[in-house]
Amino acid sequence: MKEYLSIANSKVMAFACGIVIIYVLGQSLFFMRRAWKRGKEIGMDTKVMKSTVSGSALFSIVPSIPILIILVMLMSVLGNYFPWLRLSVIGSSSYENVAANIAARSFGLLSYTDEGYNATIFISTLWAMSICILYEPLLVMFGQKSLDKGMGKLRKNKPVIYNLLIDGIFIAMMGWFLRAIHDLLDGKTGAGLIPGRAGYRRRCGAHIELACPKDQQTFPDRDVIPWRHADGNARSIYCQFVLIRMSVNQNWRENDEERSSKRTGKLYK
Amino acid sequence: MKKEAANAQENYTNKTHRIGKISTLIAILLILMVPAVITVIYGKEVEIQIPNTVSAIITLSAIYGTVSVVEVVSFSPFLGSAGTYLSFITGNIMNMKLPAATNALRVNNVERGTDEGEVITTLAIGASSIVTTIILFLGMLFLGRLLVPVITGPALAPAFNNVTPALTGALAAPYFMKNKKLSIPTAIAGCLLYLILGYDFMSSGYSFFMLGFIVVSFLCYLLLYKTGIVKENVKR
Repeated sequence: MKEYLSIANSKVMAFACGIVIIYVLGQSLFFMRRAWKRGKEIGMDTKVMKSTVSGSALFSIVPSIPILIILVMLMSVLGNYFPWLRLSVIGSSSYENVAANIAARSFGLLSYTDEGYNATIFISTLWAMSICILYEPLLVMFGQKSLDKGMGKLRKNKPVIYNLLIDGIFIAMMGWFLRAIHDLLDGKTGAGLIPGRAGYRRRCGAHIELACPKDQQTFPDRDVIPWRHADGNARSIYCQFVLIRMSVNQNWRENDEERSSKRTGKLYK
Repeated sequence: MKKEAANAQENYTNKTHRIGKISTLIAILLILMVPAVITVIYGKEVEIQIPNTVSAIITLSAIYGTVSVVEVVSFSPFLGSAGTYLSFITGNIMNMKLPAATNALRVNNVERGTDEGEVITTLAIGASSIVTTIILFLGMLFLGRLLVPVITGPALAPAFNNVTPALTGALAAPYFMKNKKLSIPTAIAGCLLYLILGYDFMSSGYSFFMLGFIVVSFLCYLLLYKTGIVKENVKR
């Protein structure tokens, strides 16, 4: 075991990370309790609120699982506790990996899996990752109130413009995921339609990019990683549909009666 | 009576902001406490290299500084006031909190920005972050090592690589369908950009593209509205 892991897996680390996580859990519970009370005050049905909580809890299970992959990846380098803290509290699965790598590179290493990774770099990584994630909470802390007020005012005075703006943001954000179309043609997510060796290399490359740090990225032979074999495509497309249907079904639960009965109900049920 | 209700709501919102600010501040201090504690305890044994740390911080700031501005501005209307404070501390917004909040609003047929919407999004985001915390706690203890070989294994790896697009796709599709006139230009532009410029280029400039998209689609809609092509209020 590398020497710095004794710091990373120390009781001090576990304790420090545990405190933060417990605090954030408490914060969630506290906000939920307030919202619950407020909901009762304005006469909302307890059933609706209960189903919101349970529905959202169920909804969150599947998207949590990819985070586990990043967790295990980071755990091998940063120890058990710090990745746990980062992924359950503040970071996102996309941020942490990149951040840890950049920190390692600023010490002249190729990536965080480099042999030369040591305690000095580890502590420096802790600082870099902790400081740089704080921009968003800081912005929220100082800007959220005025942003919220501005939006509220706009909503009251110019409802049409507000709706257009919100729809614009939403559609633009979702438009980001049109990359799925690009992926489908290009093979980035393993759902590629490019056949043969070239397609395989691109698909494989994409997975390896996601899974390994830069210095270990090679294109192995098909047989070396059989589970990324070409026929993963069919499964991948199938699994995507299953996931989409799962979430769509939840979208169109009974409450959304008109639509579920008329247009889409038959399709998805 | 109506005035009273409005007052009560304003009270609630103001209090949310106060509590949100205080709790965010505490959370920020706690997050900084972790490296500070480690540095204090192990600082004597381990050499600390400040210049390299600073250079890492600068590189990361350059990348994530702009992203965070764009994200805060564009995410917050969808998360509600309390939801925003919660989400930006609990993280994983695009792949969890935002879909959870949007989904909860849709399932309950509640409009965002209303009093009910605020309650619903807060409950949804709170529940979502508690679930993630529990799963990751189990993951840290044992589940991760057990599950990851399965997740990255033959049958499931591609599916889990696509969870976020699948979730957002499911949320976006009905939205696109309802506002066809509004979404067609954006959708076409998005597809074209991806196909022409390529994935790597697009993902490297992610935040700028999103910002650009937001501005451009808003202007498009405004134009469509002013010229009368889109008449009624956008349905939700």
